[in-house]
This record gives sequence, structure tokens and C-alpha cells, in this order.
Amino acid sequence: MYGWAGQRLRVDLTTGEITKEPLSYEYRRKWIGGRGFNSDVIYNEVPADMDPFDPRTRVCFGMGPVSGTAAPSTGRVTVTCKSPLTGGFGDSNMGGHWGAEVKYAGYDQIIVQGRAKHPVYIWIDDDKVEIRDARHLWGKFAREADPMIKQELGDEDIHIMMIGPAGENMVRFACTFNDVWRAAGRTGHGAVIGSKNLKAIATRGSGTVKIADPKKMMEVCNRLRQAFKTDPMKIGLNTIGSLCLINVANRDGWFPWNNFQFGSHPLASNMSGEVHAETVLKHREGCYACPIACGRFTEIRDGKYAGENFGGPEYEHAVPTGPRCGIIEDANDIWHNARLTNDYGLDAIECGGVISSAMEWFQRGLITTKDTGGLELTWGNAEVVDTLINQIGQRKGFGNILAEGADRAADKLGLPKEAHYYTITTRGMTLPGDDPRGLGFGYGLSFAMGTRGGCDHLRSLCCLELSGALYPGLNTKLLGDESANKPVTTNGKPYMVYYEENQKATTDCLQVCCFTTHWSYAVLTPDQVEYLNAVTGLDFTEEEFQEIGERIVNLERAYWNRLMSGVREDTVPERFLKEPMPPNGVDYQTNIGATLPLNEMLPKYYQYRDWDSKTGFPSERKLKQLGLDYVAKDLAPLRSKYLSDAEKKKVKYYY
Amino acid sequence: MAIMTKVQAKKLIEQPDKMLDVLNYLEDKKIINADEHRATMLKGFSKLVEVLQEKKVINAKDAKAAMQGGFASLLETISA
Repeated sequence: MYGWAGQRLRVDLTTGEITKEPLSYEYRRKWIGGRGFNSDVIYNEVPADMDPFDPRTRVCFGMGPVSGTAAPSTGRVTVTCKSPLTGGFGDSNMGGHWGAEVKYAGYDQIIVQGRAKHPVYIWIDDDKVEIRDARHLWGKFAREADPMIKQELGDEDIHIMMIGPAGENMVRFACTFNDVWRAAGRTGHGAVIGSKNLKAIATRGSGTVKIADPKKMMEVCNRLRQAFKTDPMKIGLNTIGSLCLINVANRDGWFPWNNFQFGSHPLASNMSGEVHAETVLKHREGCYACPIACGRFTEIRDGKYAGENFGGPEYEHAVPTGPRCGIIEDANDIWHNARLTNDYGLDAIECGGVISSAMEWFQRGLITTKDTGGLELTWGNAEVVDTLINQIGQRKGFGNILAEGADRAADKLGLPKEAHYYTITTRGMTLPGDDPRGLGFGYGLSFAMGTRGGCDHLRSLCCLELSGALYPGLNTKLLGDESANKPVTTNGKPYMVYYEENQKATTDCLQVCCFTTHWSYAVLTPDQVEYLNAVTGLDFTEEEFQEIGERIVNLERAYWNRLMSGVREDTVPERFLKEPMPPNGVDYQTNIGATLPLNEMLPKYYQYRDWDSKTGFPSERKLKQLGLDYVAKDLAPLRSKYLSDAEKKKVKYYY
Repeated sequence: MAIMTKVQAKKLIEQPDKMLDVLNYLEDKKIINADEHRATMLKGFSKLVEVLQEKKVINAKDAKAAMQGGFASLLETISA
């Protein structure tokens, strides 16, 4: 067998049973790997109504057939579970080197189930797998526990996936890291891992990935690496990281100031990639086999946080606990908060989302210092944000309520329905730091439709409207309409989202970085199919490849449908639909007055998907076309239920 | 080859999102079949240009123009 290791590892922490399960040709051909394998396991093994913290739930770690090869950026891993934040389908994706190491150890996927009696970690040393005591590691930051495990195992070159204290404390938006700094941020799987008493998975792999056609593979990889040398997005990302977006976001009005009340700020460039590179950048880092190397390592050099250092930040890492909470004057406050969310192992987007929601509740008198334990939640109060991140990570004080996520926190506080207007969530998860009134209407549509909740800058990742203008002719080639590269237009957007969602799903099956295929378009779908075939020796076609993506999108959608989540929930926070973008002192801002015309795009999107416009459920015809007959059977009795008066009356902020 | 009127082409060009309407029209008129409709949906506009050229609905020069001008160019070419 080429490409795949051909087996998955299953570890039951309740029984201690460790099994290796073969993955058949048909299975690999149907799902490719990574996200595809994981989504299939979650759909089939985790009932939609199961508590995400039930020991029987699964956490899956998926690698792909090209993981660990020389194709560009093949170190990604998808982590999937039933989300404790949304209650629905949840996954997230991380870079680093751990994914390649797991492949070298001989596994395409790891499934963890059950709950250990006390904190443990899993040690994978090729085919030898054991569960080891981790009580001495519990409570440690990843930066502390990672070297301890390496010392204990006597090998500094191993790679480790790990949760931080937030995961141990079951903060509903805790995340996972590998190589200390590379995070799979979203949907709260860190809390599920913590609920299983699992601290880490340390891995040493001494094997290799067998390549069917090494000559062809090197030819394709060399060609693609040459393309990266002059690629405009690669150059920007390498030079100043994803913070290169700050000045663009401020110009185009999607900079999330004060919880998206505004889309720009005159001081935004204080935290730009250019300023970061000049003031606090210690060095650049790349994940496995990456020609981009967008990773940053930051060291604060002056002020009260002088000496603090950490891996990052990304745009989405820095913005939520910075400008979204009204912090911009001193960028060191922003870098410090990013360091804190890293150390606790928190999804920085959700953390900033819940804090900024609380700040807006405070602004509007929905909560007072009586609710917050005396904290004045005023915009830009950096000390309070620091306190709240610590409280959330430790589940203490007011932070213990916020650790539930914004919508649950509103309900726990007994706030009126109005409070949910300010949580800026869809299906229980907050949006990233990207206002769709400026970032783009395609993104707005994909926020409404994301199959892991209201993310979802990484689900459709319709960068054809963000960086598409840097690749003249690309929008025409794919969509037949070059004007789709303009963000604030509906031109071509429903088809763009349909196409990009499918494409992103298969990219996540290969487990290559989407920065090679979306932000940058140095690698296009035919290139991916070419290296997939060179590695596996198979004959995937571009159509088959894209259809697998469509299959995955439909399967994940069906998981939500089983929870009675469909067309009524396909929306974005009302602020983006109702409030015209106001000015905020940036005279070059381009989107003043814009709102998101979501309802102009949704009907066409359902048509592309062949989803019933009354329910938003995939049609039986579509599911059968995709080889998902069993899903069609599952959904059959639920279609009329979704349309019942009882269901229509239910208000669902999370599941 | 003209397969629609200028009025029909103009109507399609004015749609903000054209792909599905154009494909449905072409399938209804039996210019493309269901498999070609599906393949284009999955692969994008360039596949449609390729299919129409193979079927000699457009020639190489038209195909090149379509790859530069998108649907506006293609619909102009196939209408009369």
C-alpha cells in the first residue's frame, strides 16, 4: 500500500484496550483521510443526542495519505469530536510536525474513547503503544509539560499533542496544541480530551510513507515549490505572517472593533504585521514541509510584559482579545493576551468572543459589577481582559460562567433574549475576527453555512474574494466571473462558497495546509490530485476528488440536521444583517453603510447543494448520489419533524 | 453556434450568480448532458468551456475569449 499507513489506532481509556483497525481500499477511496475519516467516525459512532462529555464520545485525530511527504505543507492534523461548545459537529485543524510523526509511526488516524481513572498520556512508539501516568503533568502549561515528557521518554525529537489547563478544567472552548504552539483552536475539543483525563499523545515514528511514483512526486513538488517562490501571498505571509491582514481589514472595514460595533480604528496599524516584525518578532517558524513558514515567535521587549514570549500570534489569535475587546493603544497588551490564551490552551477566538460579548452586555446595562465580581468590563480595559482570561482558564469567578461560551453564559446569568444579539454567534460558536460586511459576502454566506458552527473562516475559506484579485484570471477560470474577486458583491458568491467548501473539505482530507490552496493559490485542485495519485498510485480524478469534498460537507450537515438544525439556523448574527457599517474615523474605509445581503444568496446556495429550501436538509437524491444512503434513511423521519410547529417554536442558540 | 437569443443571454448575464442557471439552460436544451452538468459544477467554469469546445458549440478562439471574459463573453458568443 502506498500513501496510507492502512490502519487506525483506537485507544479506550476506560478499559485500557488498544486496537489497530485496518482501513479498506473502499473506505480510503470514499473518504481519502483526515477530516473525511474523522467525520465518518463521529457521524457513525457518536449519537447526535449524546452529551459531549459522555465517556463514550470519541475524539479523532486524522492524517492524510500525503501527510509526511514532500508535498507542500503536509503536517496538518484534523481533530474532531462532538463539540461541547455548540453541541453539534465540531472539528479543528492544526499544523506543526505531529501529524507527520504519527504517519511515520504507522497510523492514518487515532481514535480516543472512554475515560481514564486519573490523568494519563498515550505514548506511541511505532507499533508499541502504552497509556502512562500523567498526574505530575496535570495543571501544567504545554510549554512546561512538553519538555517534561521528552525528558521522561529520553528523546527530545519526539512530537507531542497536548491540552493545557483550560482543557483539563473543561472550558467549553479549550483547544489542542502540538509542538507546544501549533493550535487546533476551534469547537472546544480540548475540553473533551480533558474530560477523558488525557493530557497528551507523545509520538515517535521511525517508519516512512511509501510513495508509488517517487519520480513523478518530486517533479510535481519541485514545480509547486518553484511557484511559491514568487507567489504574492506566500511572500506576505512569510514576511509578516497573517497579521498582514490588519491594515487590509482596517481599510476594507472588517476589523472587529468593540465586538463588531465598528469595522475600523485609526490606530489599527499599531498591531499590524509590519509593526510586529519591527518590534517583537523573534523568529519565523514553519510547519512540516511548508514552503510558506507563516509562523511567528514573539518576544515582548519592553513595558510590564517585557520578557514574555510565545509562538504566534496569528491574525485570528491576536484580534479577539485585542481590538474586539477595544484594546489597540499598546500592542504589548494584545501580545500578552495572546500569550495567555496560548498558555491556558484556549481558543483565542472564542475567548475574545465571550469577553467582548460580556463587555457589550456591560455597556448596555444587561450586567453590572454585581454580576462580574466587581470587574468593570469597559472597552479597552486591558487589566480586566487579562483577569478574565486567567479566570476562564482556571474556571474561577466570573470567568467560570464565561468558560461556558457566550450563549450559555447569557442563559446562566438569566439575561433576556436581547443578550444573544450581542454574542455574535451562529449555532453556538462565535465568528472569527472578520466582519462579513467588509471581508466579503461569500464569507458571510459561509459563516451561516459552516458545518462546525458559526465559524467559519476556515470552512469555505472563500479566499477567491479575499486574495483572488492577486491571481488575475482565477475567478474567471473557476467561477466564470472575475468580478467575484470583489468582497462586497453577491456576484458569483453562492457558487464560490459551494466550490470552496468542497475543495476545502478534500484539502482537509489530504491534511495539507489551506494556505497553500486558498489564501495562496499556488496549488490548485489539479495539482493536489496529481500529487495524491503520485503518492498513492491510484487514479483519482478531479471530479471524484471534489465529489468526496461534497460528500463530507453533506455528512457533516446531516449531523446538524439530526439535532434539528437546518434552514432556520442558517444565518449570521443579526448585527451584520441589520446594522449598516458605521464610520469610525478612518477616512479610507471602503464599506461604510454596508450590510450583509444574506437572503439574496441563500436560495441559490441551497440549489447548488440540492438541499431542501424548506428544511435545509440534503435531498434524498443528493445523499444517494454521494453514496450516503444510510444518511438518507436517518434523515427521512426528521424532515417532517423539523417542519412541525413544536420545532418551529424552539429557539436554539446551542445544542 | 447560437443556442439562445440575445435577450436570454442578457437575462442570464444580469444574474449575480450565473453558473447554475446557465448549466440548467444548457441541459434543458440538451447541449450538455447530466454528467457534463455535474462535472462542471464540481470543476468550475473552465470545464464548461472545455465541454462546449469539444461539442463544437464554440471554437478555439471563442474558448480563449471565454477564459478571459467569463460568462459575459461565453453567453455573448452562444447567443444571436
